[in-house]
Amino acid sequence: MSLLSSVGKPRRGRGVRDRIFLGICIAATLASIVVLLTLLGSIFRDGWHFLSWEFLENFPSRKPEKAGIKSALWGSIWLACVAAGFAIPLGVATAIALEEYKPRSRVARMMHTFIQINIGNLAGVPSVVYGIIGLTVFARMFGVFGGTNPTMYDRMAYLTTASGEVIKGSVVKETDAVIDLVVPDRGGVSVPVDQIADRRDVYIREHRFVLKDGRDVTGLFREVTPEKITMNVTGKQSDAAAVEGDESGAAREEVFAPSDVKEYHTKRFIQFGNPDGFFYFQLPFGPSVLAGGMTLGLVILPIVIIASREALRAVPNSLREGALALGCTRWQTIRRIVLPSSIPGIMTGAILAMSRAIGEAAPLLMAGAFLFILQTPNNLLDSFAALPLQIFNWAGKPQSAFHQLAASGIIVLLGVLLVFNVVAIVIRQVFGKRE
Amino acid sequence: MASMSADMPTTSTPQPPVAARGGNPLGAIAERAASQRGEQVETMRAIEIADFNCWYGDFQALHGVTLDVPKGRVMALIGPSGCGKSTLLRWINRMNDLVRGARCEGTMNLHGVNLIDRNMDVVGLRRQVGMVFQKPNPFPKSIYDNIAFGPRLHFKVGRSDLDRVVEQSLRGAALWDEVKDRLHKSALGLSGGQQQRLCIARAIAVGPEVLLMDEPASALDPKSTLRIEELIRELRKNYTIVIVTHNMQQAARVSDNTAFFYEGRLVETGATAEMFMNPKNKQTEDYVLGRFG
Amino acid sequence: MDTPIPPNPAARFVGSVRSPGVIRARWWVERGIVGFLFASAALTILVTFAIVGVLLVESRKFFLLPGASVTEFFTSGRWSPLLGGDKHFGVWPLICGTGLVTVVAAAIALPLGLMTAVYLSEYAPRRARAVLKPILEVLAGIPTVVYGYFALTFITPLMQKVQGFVNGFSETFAFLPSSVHGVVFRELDSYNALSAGLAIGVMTLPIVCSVSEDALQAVPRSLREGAYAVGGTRFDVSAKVVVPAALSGIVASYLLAIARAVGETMIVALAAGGLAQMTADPRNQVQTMTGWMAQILFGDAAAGGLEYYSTYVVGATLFFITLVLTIIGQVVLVRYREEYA
Repeated sequence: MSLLSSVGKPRRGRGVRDRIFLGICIAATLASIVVLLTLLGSIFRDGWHFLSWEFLENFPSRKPEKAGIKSALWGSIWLACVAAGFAIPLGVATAIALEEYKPRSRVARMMHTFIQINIGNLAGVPSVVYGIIGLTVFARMFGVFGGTNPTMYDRMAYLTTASGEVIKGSVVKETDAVIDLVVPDRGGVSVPVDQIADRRDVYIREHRFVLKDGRDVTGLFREVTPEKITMNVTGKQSDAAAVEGDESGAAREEVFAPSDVKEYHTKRFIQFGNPDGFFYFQLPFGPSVLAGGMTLGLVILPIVIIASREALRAVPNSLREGALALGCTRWQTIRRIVLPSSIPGIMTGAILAMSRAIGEAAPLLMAGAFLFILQTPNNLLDSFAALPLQIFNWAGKPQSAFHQLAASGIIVLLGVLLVFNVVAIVIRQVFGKRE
Repeated sequence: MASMSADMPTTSTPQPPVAARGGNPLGAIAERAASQRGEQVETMRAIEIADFNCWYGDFQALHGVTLDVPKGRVMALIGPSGCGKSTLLRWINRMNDLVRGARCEGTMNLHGVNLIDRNMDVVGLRRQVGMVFQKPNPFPKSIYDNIAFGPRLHFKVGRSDLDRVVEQSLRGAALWDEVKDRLHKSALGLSGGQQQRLCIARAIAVGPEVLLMDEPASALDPKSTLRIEELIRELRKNYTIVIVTHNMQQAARVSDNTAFFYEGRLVETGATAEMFMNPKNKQTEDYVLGRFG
Repeated sequence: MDTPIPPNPAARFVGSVRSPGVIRARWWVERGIVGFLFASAALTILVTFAIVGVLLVESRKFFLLPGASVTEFFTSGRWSPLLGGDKHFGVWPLICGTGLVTVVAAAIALPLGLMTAVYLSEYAPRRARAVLKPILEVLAGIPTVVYGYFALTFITPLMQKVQGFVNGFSETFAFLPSSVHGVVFRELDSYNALSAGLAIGVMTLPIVCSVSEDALQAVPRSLREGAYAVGGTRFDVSAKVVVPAALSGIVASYLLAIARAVGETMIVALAAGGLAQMTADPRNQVQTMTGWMAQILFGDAAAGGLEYYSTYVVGATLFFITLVLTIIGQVVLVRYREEYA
């Protein structure tokens, strides 16, 4: 008391200041609620119109009233599954390695710290950078397998006749009696069906023609007739053209007759199975579900690791010690004690990571989603569309009808995310109660 | 156990030797301490507590406590863990307002003002009733800023006045000589005992009348504890002190009056020497003799 | 005691101890699993090296092409790659565009996020928290393309109306010098940095809020009690003790949010436009680093050419900027965790 009686006047208005501060804080908090409501409100207002069962059933169309998102919806589901199948095992394994096997030596401890910091950094890498990595590593595979667009291919028939001759050509017409082919360095050929001993369809990534006039043409067919072959030229020539100032990236066209061909070479995919069936594999992946899904997997890998580590850390040490004291090995302790009690946390994290993958668009822009896809994916190496990209595409169009379509697509996307989150909540509830 | 009505501190009357009553050696400590201090005849009450009940949610933590804290004395609250002594302490400056589901009824007056009134100016109250916690809790600021924190909140003070307040507070907490050369260094660099004295200095810097101490020495080593106890005896000249302690010897050494709590009830209260040598209640006797607790 | 208790209840199992072969097999299985676990952990490092490696190798290809130069890239203020004959690749307009959008976003997210965090941590009753936390989680979970749509179809028209309202005072302030007058009263581009920035601000607000709130919650209770005990009001306690004590965590949340804003793609691709220019007026359209990468690599871009390889250089620049931000953020975060460990 005595200390302060002389030193100054009491401050006034502290209560008022306190209340003003609280008011500002509440206003800030309310602002985010208002924004959320406005956002949802504007989207439902715009998107309600096109929302119907047909919208889910139809493929994209240039006519807004006929457009739908079937390919995008299924593409997104495929992608989420691939991303999860890629990221969850790796993420959980990494989390276990970091959390359950504490380093003892100095070098190991440094590695441990380094990996932890590294994971933090990976979580901060913009998704667009993952996209460019996915494009280079998964879709193009550094170009070591050649070609710039591996999902585009020419289908050629390799026919073996009864006499043992092999005819390689592009099928023009096929009837019960005869198969008409264009053999690129010979011209039109008709082969009666009853003379064919064996037929194999081969997918050609790149044709290379050396013509009699010295031209060197590499690319894919645009149009093939017995008299004339029209080629979309790709590869190095196109690069050179772009540098020289031509319109960038546009494929040039070369026309020649089969009779002009001096040399003919083909490059095939490294491939197994039929591109139209379920069991199909190729290298490079090309702009495919697998490439896109793995790219998304990279994006969510740090999220899965961080969530799994949290879940593992929540398991009390006494449980581990109890199991180890009974003579369990490290891994037995993890398998039988630690993982079962942390699995709800891990699964919740994994599902939330998957919903992040579903909403992520930027990496797919690069790792190869197509916007105008009129089918759902057949296999992992098939091309695909994705919900957020379909929305992006529609939102970017000037007509307001497409904006409404985008809003409808957003409602569907939010619906899918809602389902994921509900599943996560249910898992948390169900497992939480059991303990 | 019915709560006891408050015993006023009495002047020390000649007591039979401890050994004669087969009593508690702590009684001797208390007696010696009291005689060293020189007993004052003062009966003014700083805090009056009457029929005080409080709850945490559905759990009743205090049952009908009636207790007076005389002004300018040290009152020790003792009892086993969970007996409600810290709860009572935390009501005196309304720190329990921060605990969800805590409520109380009854009377608790500070100089005749009911401090559990809903309309009480809690901030003003806390300026008058300082508190020191079990673990030292210096703010992550410099030593100077820690002490100046309270005065800056409450008063418009100039630089030189503030310097003076800081110095006086630190002197009051017997810390000045140790820290005067590093006032602007972080308070987190001080030792545990120094941190606790810093917290005491911080509390007295806003000029309180009452100091509440919640086991102020329990986290400290014996040497620092001793310094804190010396400080409490020093502070007694200027402040009314209520101290919660588990350490029976500490209660005997520093306090004038003692109140024993058990399971949320006040069992017995009286002059410390009396309580230790001549407890009226069997439970009190058992506790101060260390038979339980 | 009729039946004597055997000295060891497990005695009857003693005959059936696992054979050494089984035990050895188990040991190998265990080794294999541990190997897999650590290989996974090592893979995360490999990913980082892949990112750095790819960006550097492909960037080098860019600088080797005729028409590209390192000096021009890092010093020139002109980015005009799509003009036929006269191409310029100076990265500063892209950095400027990114910076402008980020500044607008930060102006929204940083103060609002911190205020919300303070309210949630220090003031909010339990019931308000129970409502507010899920709302923030929803905001955090909305895909960025949705924010992009919102920016394009809602915020931009709204801002145009606001600008129109301001322009209504054009006559009144006709006395202003034309240089000032022209800056204040003008049209808002239909693609602009402002709308994109606002949307990114809303998007990053939950990041600021949740990381800051964690930091505020980590401040020990004893500090708050100490501040209340000397008679602090809630404002005193939160603004003068809790926020300063949690400062490093708050700074970390800011850095993480800024890193997210810098790397955001879809919102700028939809709402910010595509014209690279050095401007400080958020009402202009801008091209950001991410916007450029999205524009060139969109869909099925043909490999090769200056534009194609320039995306790698821009990507490397972007990666470097966000890396610095996240590393500083992490260091700050680790430090504040140590403070209260």
